[in-house]
Amino acid sequence: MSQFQLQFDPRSYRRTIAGKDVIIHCHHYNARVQRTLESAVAVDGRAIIRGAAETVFAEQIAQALRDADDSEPKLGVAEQLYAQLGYGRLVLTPTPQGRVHATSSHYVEGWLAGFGARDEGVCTFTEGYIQAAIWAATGELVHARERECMARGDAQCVFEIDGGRTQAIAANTKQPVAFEPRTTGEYLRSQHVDEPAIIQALVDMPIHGNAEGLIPAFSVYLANTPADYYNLICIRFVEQMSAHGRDKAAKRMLIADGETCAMNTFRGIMNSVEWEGLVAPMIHEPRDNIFALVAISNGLGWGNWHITAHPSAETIEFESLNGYEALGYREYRGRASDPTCFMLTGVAAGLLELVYGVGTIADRLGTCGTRETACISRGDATCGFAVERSQ
Amino acid sequence: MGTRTYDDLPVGVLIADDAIVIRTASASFLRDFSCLAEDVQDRELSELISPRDRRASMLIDRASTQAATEPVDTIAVVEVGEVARLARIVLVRESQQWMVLVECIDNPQNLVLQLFSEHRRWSAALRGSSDGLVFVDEALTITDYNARFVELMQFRSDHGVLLGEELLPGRELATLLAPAAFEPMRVRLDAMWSREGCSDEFMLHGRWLELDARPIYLPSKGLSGHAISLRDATDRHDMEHARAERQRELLRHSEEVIAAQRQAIRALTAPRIPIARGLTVVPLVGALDTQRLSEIVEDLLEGVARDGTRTLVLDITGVPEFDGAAAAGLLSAARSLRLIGVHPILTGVSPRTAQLLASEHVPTHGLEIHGSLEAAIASSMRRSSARPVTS
Repeated sequence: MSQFQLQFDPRSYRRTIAGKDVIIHCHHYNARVQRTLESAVAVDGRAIIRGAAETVFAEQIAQALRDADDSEPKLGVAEQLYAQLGYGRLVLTPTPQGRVHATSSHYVEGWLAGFGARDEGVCTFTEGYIQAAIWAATGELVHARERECMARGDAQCVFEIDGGRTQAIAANTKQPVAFEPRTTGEYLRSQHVDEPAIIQALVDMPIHGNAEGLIPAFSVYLANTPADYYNLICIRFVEQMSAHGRDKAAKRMLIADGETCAMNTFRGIMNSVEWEGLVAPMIHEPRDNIFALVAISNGLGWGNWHITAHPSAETIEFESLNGYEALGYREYRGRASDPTCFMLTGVAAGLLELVYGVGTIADRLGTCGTRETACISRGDATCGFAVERSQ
Repeated sequence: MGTRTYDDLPVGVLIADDAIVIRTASASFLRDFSCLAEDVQDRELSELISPRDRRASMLIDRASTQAATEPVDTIAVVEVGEVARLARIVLVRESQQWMVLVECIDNPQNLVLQLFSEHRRWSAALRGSSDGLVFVDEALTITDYNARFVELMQFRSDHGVLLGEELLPGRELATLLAPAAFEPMRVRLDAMWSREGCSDEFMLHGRWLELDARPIYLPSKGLSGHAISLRDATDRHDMEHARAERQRELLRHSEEVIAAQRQAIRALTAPRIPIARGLTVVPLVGALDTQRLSEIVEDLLEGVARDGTRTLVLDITGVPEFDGAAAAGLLSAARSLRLIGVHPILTGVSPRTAQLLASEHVPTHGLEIHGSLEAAIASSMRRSSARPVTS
């Protein structure tokens, strides 16, 4: 599976698998963003998720296939990619009844670990992946809809394949952006935290699917997801909510998802054997935790961001040199009028809430607020985040 | 604007459109916030929530974008111009619009404010506790908990992934305690439910926890739940273990000292004194019971075999008491000496001992006995060709 091996660019901190920049996020973020989109009554969140997955993976899977192969080995490659990225085990060859199934799923495990059982299926993302895989492997346009889901207590996730589709899969159209990220800046460092060592350790870690196609690591379920996917679902969600006058609420909810994710994810990371072995010996004072967590996030492919000011536990400032959200917005939509780094905005607050806050996640949520003071998507040289404790 | 319908209500009323943009405000609201209609008209409700009160804003965002059927009920700081007041906000969906009730509660006599303040105090105590605290209702489902409880429990999925806190409220505690690791806690809790509170301790995830469960009664309802606290007693256990280990070590050391002292005393009270080549004198001192005699004989047999003694003089002048069993043992020892080729001579026999030997019919035939040590040595020298030891 050498074609799926991770490529890491130490200059940009970008992770690439099968030709696409991938971001490591955990089930907390994936499940929360999915819940935000799917529970918004004004828009069809499922269609946004399914459509983005289909567009992005149709391109990535096609890049991974050999034209000379038959459809069966091509479907096998798509199954392998799905498992390698950490989404689970998917059997794409349809049964005579026209169904495909999954025996393990990042989205199911993530939903169960985060929210518990659900009455509806949770594998909307997988529906889009299946549509993309079948199209890339066979040229057939299909609809995939989940009929049984392990999150509801079913034995496996079963997807019904409907071949009566005529609508083409939307191309992943992006405009190249002439942007050269700044390479240096005035950043604060911790004398105890060895950031390059943390990043290198993360790069060296085998963060790919296990026998179940899952990546349980750092006390969370990780997945390698193309940045394009996150950008498309967030951009489309805000745009579609805007049509109902709810774009501000949409942005605030995406920020809150990043904030909650940061607390849950980084708390999981801080309670993991990986942290205990690698990072804990570097921690000598509470602020070291923030420096270490920022180093970890830089190793996860989120981009390249650093702390520029941290005078007290009440406030912190960050600068991001090439965040995937800002650059992604530029690629998909051109220059933005307002900042677009919702995830990083939330994560910035979540970091302060986690490291210096008290109480449960719910107690800490919302006790800090972040302003995105500059954003590459607006044409600024970097993205800036100023966090202040508000309660 | 100003809505006549709502002006008589004791609370302020805002009517907002589907996007939660305020269209009308009641006179009571305008009065409560000393503002004009245009100060709030066409503003999104979230804009009236203090930026320092993000939690309320998040709640309103979530509820207003979802298909909420229940009214949203929260406390928030509402800011209009320079006026900021603590208010209870109730959002009710009414077909294509929202009715927002805004009741200012900052009067100290206000019951909601009193309840809110009470809740804040309770939350602060819960958050600040170093004990894990969880409250369950009469159906044993979780109603409240603190961060320490989550930290001590470390609820994880089958893959070792930490479960999210959002899973806890409303969840049966027993379902979370199903994994084998929680069996000690489960067993203790099962035994506690039927009792009037109880304490116990057990080990979980390598730590000792003190468990205390107390029933909670309400006047009208009777048993309404339980308060469960968990205290990390690992340090106390470690100290107790260390203290017990120290005591065991001290005891072991004392026993070794006593054994060494006993050995030294034994050596001193039955020293082997070489008088001439092949001739050794052993003056016995102190009471001679069967146990001591047995130890002396054991030493003698080993010693004489090693140093080539041919004649051994046992001088019992220093033995104050002698019973029949000891006398028999002494003669048995003499026979043993003969078996290894050593000629035993007994000396220092007091009249009382002689009387005892006679009255107890202790067979002394074959044993050379002399009245004094000098006589015994002289006899031995005469009998053998032994020469005095030269230095």
